[in-house]
Amino acid sequence: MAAKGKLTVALAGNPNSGKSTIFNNLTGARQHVGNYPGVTVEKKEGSVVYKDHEIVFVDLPGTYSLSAYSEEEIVARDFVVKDKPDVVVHIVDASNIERNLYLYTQLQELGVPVVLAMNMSDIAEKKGMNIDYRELSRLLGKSVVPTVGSRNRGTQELLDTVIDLHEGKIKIEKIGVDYGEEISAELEKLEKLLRERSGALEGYPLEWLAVKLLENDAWALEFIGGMPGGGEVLWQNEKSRGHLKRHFSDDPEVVIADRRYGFISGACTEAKSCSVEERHDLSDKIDKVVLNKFLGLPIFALVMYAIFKFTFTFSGPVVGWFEQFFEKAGELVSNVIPEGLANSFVVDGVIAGVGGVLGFFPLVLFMFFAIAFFEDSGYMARAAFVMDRIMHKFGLHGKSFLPMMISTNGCAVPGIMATRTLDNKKDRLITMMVTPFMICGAKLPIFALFIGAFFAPEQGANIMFLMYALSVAIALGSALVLKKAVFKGETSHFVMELPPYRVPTIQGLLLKMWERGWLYIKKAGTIILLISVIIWAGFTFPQMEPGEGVSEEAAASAQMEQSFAGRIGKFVEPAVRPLGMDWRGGVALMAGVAAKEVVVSTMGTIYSLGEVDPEEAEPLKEALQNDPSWSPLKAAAFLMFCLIYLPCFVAMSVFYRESGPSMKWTLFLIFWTTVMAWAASFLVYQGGRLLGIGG
Amino acid sequence: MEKTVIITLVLICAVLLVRCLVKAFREETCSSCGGCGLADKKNGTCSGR
Repeated sequence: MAAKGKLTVALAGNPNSGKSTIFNNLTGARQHVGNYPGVTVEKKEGSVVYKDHEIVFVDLPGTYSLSAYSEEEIVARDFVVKDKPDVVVHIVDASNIERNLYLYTQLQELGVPVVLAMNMSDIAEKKGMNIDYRELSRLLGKSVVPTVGSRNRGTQELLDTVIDLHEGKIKIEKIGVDYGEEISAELEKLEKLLRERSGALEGYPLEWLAVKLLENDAWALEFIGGMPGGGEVLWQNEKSRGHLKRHFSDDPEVVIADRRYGFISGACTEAKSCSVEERHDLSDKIDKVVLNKFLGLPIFALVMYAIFKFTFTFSGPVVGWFEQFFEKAGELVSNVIPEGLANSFVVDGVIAGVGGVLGFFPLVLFMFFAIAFFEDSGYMARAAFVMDRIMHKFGLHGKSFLPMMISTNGCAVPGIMATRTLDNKKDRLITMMVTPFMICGAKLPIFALFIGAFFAPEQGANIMFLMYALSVAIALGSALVLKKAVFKGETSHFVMELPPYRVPTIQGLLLKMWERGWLYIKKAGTIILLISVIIWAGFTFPQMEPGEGVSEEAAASAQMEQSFAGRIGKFVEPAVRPLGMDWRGGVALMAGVAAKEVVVSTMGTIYSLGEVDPEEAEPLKEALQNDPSWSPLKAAAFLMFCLIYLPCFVAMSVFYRESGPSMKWTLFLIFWTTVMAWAASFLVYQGGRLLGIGG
Repeated sequence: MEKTVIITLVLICAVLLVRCLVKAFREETCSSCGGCGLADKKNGTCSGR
């Protein structure tokens, strides 16, 4: 049956109001939901056919208001104003209704048809709040639908309301904020001037623009100033602001915000009642301990340690099975394909390369599961809050820690993109520069491989935790240096929301773990497979004839050294030799720029090509252990280099785009991270040797 | 013959790799990188997590 019509519905709401969950429920899309602010930076689309209507849902970035303070607010505002969605669904955290409705006051000023989805209504109930949704609907003149996103409740009703509103079956009333006589008079003057220039207003509503001007909104001032005759409007605005300032003895924007909160407070007083004391709920009680001045940081360290301990303890045996599987697969192929180029291509190129990375798949899954648990519970938002005090000492604030955590929890790419939540350009660039230092999912196999090969199994979690702490320290130290030397200036202030704690659902955790894990497999099957083949070819060609009387081991070694990749390795060897590495380490590091897992796959290929007898092939971990050219100290120096050196190609591309695009800052990032990595690795290796720790 | 087939395969892989990296460079980041699990399949953009 053909759809009756297509309608666009925008989902707006505060960060952490459950907007992404509602979006998933409405569209069936699988979008990640994290329990801390700033999860959605770009708008996303998903569609559904309902009651013969094709509804396109657009998930706007989470915002607290529609001012021009941050990128998200501009993206959300521009979409509502310029793309003119048929309906805007405003997702409100019902348990935090007062603050969430601030955005509503601005949405209704834009004159768009709004439906209010009172999400997390179950949490509001548990908190002892009794919300009269009908009364609220009457007071605001809009449809109000209670929903519970996490349990997919109210989705159908929400869809019905959207359709009914679109078809005109529901009437909405324009009940706006009463700014009072004085402000309204000044707004009228501005609106009159703006009306005379309405052709240049690009669809922005007059009333809303006038309010923005009085609020001294930077974007509005620039926009009006740039249009023909804008000077007169700005002159009137200055006059009006001066008048209001004298009248109220305060800035007009403060008075306007007060009026909005007054409007919200009035609506809530009538529509909401509380049966218990709100302020002493469980979340507050937990926060008293978790955010304690002295306990906060040790608890955060404990949580990170628990994540690594859980990962290493439980994934160990499963990783062993995976390694054995790929070892057996190599042996099997060796028995089927006769010795020669084709055999080497499959065994040394594909299986050793991709298998080396996929062997750590269980470890990555366990890690993602543990991280998802703390994300969904709401703890990760507290971590940024705890770090705020420390971050300030390093010239940044807690909000900058979120991108760093995002990088640790998955990938530097979304970490860099999440810096869009920072309003200050300098803070943003510094955060982008230091975010790639964190241990992302791609670096994890490198650490797991070398820690497993050179350190006692029971030390795995401890060393991993140490490396994590080191990555944070390096990131903060770099931020301080950059702040003092390159990006001088004041740090901006912010208010960070603390969402209530929630018990994560097993389904949610498994889904999140699998989605991230599946992409790890996908990456191994695409980009890592391709690079493994290229690396194999690099070590295999040009082929040389072994001399007479030369042993097979010596011939294999000479072949690699004379190959294209070997020659490149030999060329860079002088640079990595002081770090305790030979040409093989140099090649692996260079290849790792394409994707960090490739460091492991390249090592896999190198050691597999070096094997003469397929029957005696050993897992990569054992091959490294048995190689006399490695030692625990050299492994530590190598890991230090991997921790700091330049981000992967994709992360650099995103950095380039997000920094401007700026080639200058991208080149600076490459230079900065390479120099830092070399210096730190040099210190570890040479310092260790001086102290007699190892050779 | 074996060498020709293998070299052809390697060249195909090289072309695919370049295509993959170019795709990654052009806004379609996450769908090619796949590191974070947050790819927006439709728009080819990253959700920021």
